[in-house]
Amino acid sequence: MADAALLGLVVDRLETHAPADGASDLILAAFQGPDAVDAALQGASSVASTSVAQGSVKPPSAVYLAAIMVEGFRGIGPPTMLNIDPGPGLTLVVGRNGSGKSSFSEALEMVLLGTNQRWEQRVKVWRDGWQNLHHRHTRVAARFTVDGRKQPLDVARVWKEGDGVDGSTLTVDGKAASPAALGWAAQLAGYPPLLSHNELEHALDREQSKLYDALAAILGLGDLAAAQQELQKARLSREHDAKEARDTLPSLRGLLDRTSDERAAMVRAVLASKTWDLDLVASAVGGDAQSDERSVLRKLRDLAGLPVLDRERLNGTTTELREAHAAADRLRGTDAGKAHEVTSLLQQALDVHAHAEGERCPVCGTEGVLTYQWRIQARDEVVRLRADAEAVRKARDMLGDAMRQARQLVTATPVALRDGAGAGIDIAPVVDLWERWAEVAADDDAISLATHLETHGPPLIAAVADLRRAAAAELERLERAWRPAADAIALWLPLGRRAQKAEREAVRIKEAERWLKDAHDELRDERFRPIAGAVQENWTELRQDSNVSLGELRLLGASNQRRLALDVKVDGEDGSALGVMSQGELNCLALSLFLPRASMPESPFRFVVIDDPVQAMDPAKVAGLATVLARAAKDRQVIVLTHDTRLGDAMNALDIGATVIEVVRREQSIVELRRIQDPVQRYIDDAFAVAMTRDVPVEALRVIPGFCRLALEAAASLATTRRLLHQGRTYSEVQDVLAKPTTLNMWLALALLNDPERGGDVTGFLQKQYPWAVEAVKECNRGTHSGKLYGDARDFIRGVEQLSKKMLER
Amino acid sequence: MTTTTDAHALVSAARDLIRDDDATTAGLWPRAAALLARQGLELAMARLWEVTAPGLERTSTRCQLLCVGDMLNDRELGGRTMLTWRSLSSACHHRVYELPPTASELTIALETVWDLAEAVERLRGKIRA
Repeated sequence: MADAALLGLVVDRLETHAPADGASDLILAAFQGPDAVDAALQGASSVASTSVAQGSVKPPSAVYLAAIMVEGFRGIGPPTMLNIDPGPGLTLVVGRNGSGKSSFSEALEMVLLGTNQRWEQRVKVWRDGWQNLHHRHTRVAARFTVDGRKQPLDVARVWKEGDGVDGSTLTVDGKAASPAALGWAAQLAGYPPLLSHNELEHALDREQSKLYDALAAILGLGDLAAAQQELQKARLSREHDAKEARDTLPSLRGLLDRTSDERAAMVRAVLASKTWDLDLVASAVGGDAQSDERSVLRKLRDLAGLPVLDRERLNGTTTELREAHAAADRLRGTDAGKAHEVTSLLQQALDVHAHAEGERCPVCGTEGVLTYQWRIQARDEVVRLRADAEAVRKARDMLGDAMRQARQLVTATPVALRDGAGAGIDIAPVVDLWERWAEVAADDDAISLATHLETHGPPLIAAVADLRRAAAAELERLERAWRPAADAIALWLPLGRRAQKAEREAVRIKEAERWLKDAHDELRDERFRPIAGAVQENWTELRQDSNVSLGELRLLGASNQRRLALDVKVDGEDGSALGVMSQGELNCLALSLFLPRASMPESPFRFVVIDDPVQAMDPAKVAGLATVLARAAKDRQVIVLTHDTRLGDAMNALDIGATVIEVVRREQSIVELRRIQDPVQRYIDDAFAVAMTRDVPVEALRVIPGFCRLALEAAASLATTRRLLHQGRTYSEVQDVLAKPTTLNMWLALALLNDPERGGDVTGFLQKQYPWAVEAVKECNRGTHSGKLYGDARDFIRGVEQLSKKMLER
Repeated sequence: MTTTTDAHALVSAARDLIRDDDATTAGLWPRAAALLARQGLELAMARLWEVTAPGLERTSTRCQLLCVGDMLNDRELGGRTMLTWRSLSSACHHRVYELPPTASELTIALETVWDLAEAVERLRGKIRA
């Protein structure tokens, strides 16, 4: 799960800088991994899982270094402990090359990181020499103080006899533990508290992208970058799908080109357009393509389905027609109309007769005719006449029906046939037959109608049947020719659909990516600004009299374009990046870059160990370095390992308070550590140590004047440095002055009379100002060579101490 | 305080300082050994002048060092003596940026001083005989 504070920023920004529709879900999903991204693309909202915790993240508990313990490792034999005051401040560990001082930083590195990549990259000789030659029991340990923890935290690595360098066991507070137990892995990578000389020297040789990563890691934007990568991955996989489908297109096109079927042309046209109508393609493959009037396939399909005249119906209709006609013919003599009228008359007469009985005719007035006899006869006549009329009506209806049936059979030329030309089969005979068939006059009688049907029906039926068969055969031929292409398209179609979906998704992803990139760049610039400022400040201090100035420092680009923009100006002119800088300047720049990184508030490590930063630096830069380190030491525990006293001298000169620990290695890898106040006090202490030792061999006493002389020379050097810096001289100039004196008198002349050449006047000066010191100075000069002391050793040393103080007070 | 110490005794004392793991000399032994070694070297030279060129001890150290090889008829030892004196001298003077010499540097210097003292005593023995 992503860093809550960072996700909070993203959610806020989604409101103020709303992305295109749907991109929001995708952006949030990108923080939750590939499955969420897929789900978001399917339309699932991921908002549910983004209950974002707002507010600042609690700073981690501060970790300070209290001690490094080393036994049998590298240059250190018997157990040796480097104690450091846990808390902000500056500690210098000074020792000649080979004194074993670097073994402490290597031991710390081993404790924290184990045999990491840096070890594995080393040459075999180095790797084999990890164990001390004189002491084969190996253990490295570090003691930390952690805020909120009463007891110090002890972390150690122990090797059993015969173990390789990789075979150590990690213990935390004395108990075996896994490296994960400390929970420092991410912070050690992000804010490495160890800066080796090697790293400083090569920090800027590395590829731009590595340099970017080293600095970008501290900006806490890793999750944002990871989200971008998640989206990029998702997009690339979709682009891959789309490409896969597109890559198969040429061969498919080739197949379509070789296929003359009209569907091939249609599919080609669809695939040539920017947006594929794949449903259309699918219908082409299925065979029921929606097609236009000119479609050959449609014509053939219609022709194959031409209406068929039913031969039995034709025969039936003809027979009926003829029979109806014959029936009607038989009743030709019957006057159905007259019969009907007579029937009505007789019926009315019968009705009248029934009301008014009598034998007189009401019409003609003849008496005696409407008899019972008449009545019977009339009634029979009505029945007979009615039957006649009915028969006539029936015959007439039958004939009408038959005529209608016959005319219904005779249909006009169907559209399919009318439009059927150009489908690759000959329709002319059928068209001809059908036109003749359809030619029926409106006043044709039954006999001529029947004759028409009998004449034109059967040939048409046969011709249509032939045409249908021909059309079907042609269709089948085309279908067979089309099948391979259709099969190929059918195979390709899922690919195409996936590609189409992938392309649509890729567009959405791109939108989300663009949004995230903008957000990332803006946040990155915002967060990097204070770091760039600190780097700039460090460089200003470190460059001293270098003519190289540093322009704006920015992190630019992303993925494989990412780089650290370092604009360098030489004497105000644009320089070609880092090529113009000396190794010393590069080291300074690297230190400028990495000190702010190690001092990030997000880092639990309040200590930073820098191994030999002064190599290849000129004295002026060493003074700048002292200032930079002192500034860092205000709220950090800065531990510097160095092979000479330049840094210590610079700190003394600039009055920067630091704990100095001297590392000296005796034979048999016995390494001794001594805390030193300042060089003057150290020599005085050494002289006293010899003088106060009981049963000291007489030879040993001979070294006392030597130590005293060293103390006076150191005091003169320090007093001169402070005075000249106070006068506004540069550190380089001071170094030039300090290089001149070669004898004690010259040192004293420089410190007391401001001129190393006036050594001859020193005694006179002392006699006037500090008469008590004359004898002490003489003893120094004499005794250093002869080893002889003429007075009490302790009084002598006290005199020297006194004179040293006087010089430093001036 | 007078002493009858000869150069060999000084070299031995310096070697003890380097070798012994002694808390009282912890840290100070490198410069102490250098001081003793230089004294031993200068003592050996003084004894050389006694029998070969009295008065040479009053000239500059540089002058004396240049004469060692000739007087002993051993140019190689003369050269080594010169180099050793220089390195010991810088350990016995305050030099900006200079840390005490290492045990191995001192061991080599002490060897030269020892050789020089032996050569001087051999010569003295020959002359006396």
